[in-house]
Amino acid sequence: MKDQKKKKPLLTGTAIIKKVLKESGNTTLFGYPGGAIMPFFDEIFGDNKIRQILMRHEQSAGHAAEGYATASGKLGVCMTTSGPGATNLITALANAFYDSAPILAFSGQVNTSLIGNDAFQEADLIGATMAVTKHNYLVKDVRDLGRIFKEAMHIASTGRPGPVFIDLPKDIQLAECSLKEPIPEKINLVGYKPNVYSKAAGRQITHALKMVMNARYPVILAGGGVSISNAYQQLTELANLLKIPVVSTIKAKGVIDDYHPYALGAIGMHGRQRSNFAVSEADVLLAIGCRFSDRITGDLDKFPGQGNAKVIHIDVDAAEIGKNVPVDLPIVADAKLALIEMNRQIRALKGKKKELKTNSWWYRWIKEMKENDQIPNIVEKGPEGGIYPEKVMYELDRIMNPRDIIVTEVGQHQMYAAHYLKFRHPRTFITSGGLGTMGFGFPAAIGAKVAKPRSEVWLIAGDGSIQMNSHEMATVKQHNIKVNMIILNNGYLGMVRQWQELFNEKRYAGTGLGFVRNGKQEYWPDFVKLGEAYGLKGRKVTDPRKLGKALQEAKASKETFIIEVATEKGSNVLPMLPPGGALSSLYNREGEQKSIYDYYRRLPRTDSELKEFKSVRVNPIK
Amino acid sequence: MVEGLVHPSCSVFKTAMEKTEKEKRHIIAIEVEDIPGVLSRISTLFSRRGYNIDSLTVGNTHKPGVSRFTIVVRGDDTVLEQIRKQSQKLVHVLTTEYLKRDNAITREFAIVKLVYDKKTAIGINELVDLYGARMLSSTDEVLMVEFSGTEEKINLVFEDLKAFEVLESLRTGKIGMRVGR
Repeated sequence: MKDQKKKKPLLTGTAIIKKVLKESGNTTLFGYPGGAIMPFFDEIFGDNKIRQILMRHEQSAGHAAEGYATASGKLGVCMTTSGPGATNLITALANAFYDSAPILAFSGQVNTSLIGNDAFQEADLIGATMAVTKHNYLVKDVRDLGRIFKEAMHIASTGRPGPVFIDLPKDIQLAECSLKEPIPEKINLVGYKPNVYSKAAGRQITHALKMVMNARYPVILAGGGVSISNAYQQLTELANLLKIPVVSTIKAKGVIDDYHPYALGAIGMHGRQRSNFAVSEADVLLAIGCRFSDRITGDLDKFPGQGNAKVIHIDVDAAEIGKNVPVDLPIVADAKLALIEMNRQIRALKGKKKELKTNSWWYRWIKEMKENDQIPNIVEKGPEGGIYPEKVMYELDRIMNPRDIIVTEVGQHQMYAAHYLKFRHPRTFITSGGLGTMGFGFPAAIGAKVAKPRSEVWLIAGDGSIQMNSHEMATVKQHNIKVNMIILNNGYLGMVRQWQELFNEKRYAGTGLGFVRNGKQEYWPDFVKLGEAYGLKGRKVTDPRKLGKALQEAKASKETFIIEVATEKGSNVLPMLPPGGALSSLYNREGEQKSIYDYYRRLPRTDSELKEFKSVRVNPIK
Repeated sequence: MVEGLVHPSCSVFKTAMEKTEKEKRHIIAIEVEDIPGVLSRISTLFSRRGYNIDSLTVGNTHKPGVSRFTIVVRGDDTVLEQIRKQSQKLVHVLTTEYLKRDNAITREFAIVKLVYDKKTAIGINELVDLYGARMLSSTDEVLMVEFSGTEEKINLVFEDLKAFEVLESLRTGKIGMRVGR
């Protein structure tokens, strides 16, 4: 009798997984069932502590987990079945990999005895996901299961975060674990010790400060890493202490208040002119948590500062340092820890009453440049009667609360949103940056809303992107998740169409989503009607004056509301860099090829020039 | 210069050295946890990032559960640095290090099967003596010989073997170890 009392019932594989997830507080799961993952779905059935959100496609489950992770800063969890279920997940894993989002993904697999035999719904997911995950596991013994899940969560969310995938054979899920402690207390990964901070980094920071303070035109470039490591307060403090301008990548939107006088906005192909100008003129670039993708650097030979600037690069991933841009001063550290140390050192210098040697003229110039750089009057309607996307962003910016979350798909609308919307808080702009995945936005918006139920979530989509995962309308209906959908319908794959107009002599190959009948442009589908089919309400807006009202209506609605905007089909996101061009080259708002120096004055390079420059009161903008 | 065995005065050896320097061939040693799939992780990384592998060898070490790769790659210093950092990021990779010509000893190993008859015996015997090779087996006028040494030496061996009738041959990739602690 005594023995029986002591004996705990053995845990099955699925029970172990549930226990690990619950103990770590990851109880929101996005997924899609199937034969090989049935045991796990059965395990969580009826458990009111676990929220399982049934998506309509495995890719969406992955994106939703990423939206959830990005909005909350926590781990996103998704699961699918074997074979096609898991291969559908790969795009989402790749997207999370490029944008460094902490995702735990697991999929069912055929029984261990069948692996390698081309069984029904078998696919080699370890091989297939190797290049798009931070790490992956195939579980071959139920006694490893608890350890693997704990390790996977640790790997996914520490250092530079990323997706971790676990392949989970069905027999392992059902097997009973004979171990006394199926879930180890501690994990020990000998080969994985992310270097988040070291004394060496502290010394490098001292050198970095010297470089920045001795620079004439220093610029801070904030990347997605600042957002991931929650270093936004430290970043703002640094900008205030040093009084130097901050430009950002698109993934870093919101890490510094867009209304901050030194916050210039995004750089790169679709960046703001003033940001591209600042980086083109910089002599020291302090890059924090960014990976210098080709979309932000333009021509590498002329980046930054026409190729003459010194680069300080802070990144937690040592492999990012020096990968694309040669770095003069590498600092391997977590952005937040590095910035805390940097600010501490600056304050210590101030405490010694050593005057900070910053170029006060530079930041006044920057401030003035920002004050003078107003977005030109917004034209509401185009020559073909469609509403300009700028107008939509303008109206949305007026109505949205600073804590609202904006999620975008990929394309022109994404760039319009990045250009025209003002972000004041971190984690309020969620977009697919590195991989550029159309279809990312809608499921990510669902994930974001699940993570932040009290924030309004606005999805900005194009008619092309939304059709990649529009079936998720069923998900929002079923789970009563409110997403305010704004679909800019211009009947084109707009971004590609824009490139065709600018670079392919207006040969619009494969980009039209509608056609002209009896002199009238027709588009499919009617998104409001599509929403109706899923039981959702919506409104089609053709008159720009009615935009504001429709947005209010969406905001006031209790469930997902669709606003379809009849968008001008020929509208282009400008200015933009020509592909392969330097940051200082651009196509202006009229689509003409120009140089940034047609708009901004080139800055003096010597002291005497500067003196002369200072004596004359000149407007930074020509 | 630590690499030995081939007469350093040998001109062929010198040109081979110079050529290697110019083409920027690098040797990188990677110690990994000996876990199934670790080879494919390394090779996936290399192919995905477009690194050119000249040779790759892997085997156990004295430490239980630890294997060691010696990989010869081509590329400039930036590429090499990337390779090392990207490899280091893999969860099962324990250590990575460069093996430079002036601080490491490298070896290759070759087995050759060749016709060994009255006509060729003397020549082959000379060759075996010259390169300090070992005869492994000799049956029915077929001889198997084992050579080991630097890559350059093995190159010379294969050059000299052209004078004989080789039936089969193989050479391992490079293995190497840093000198000193």
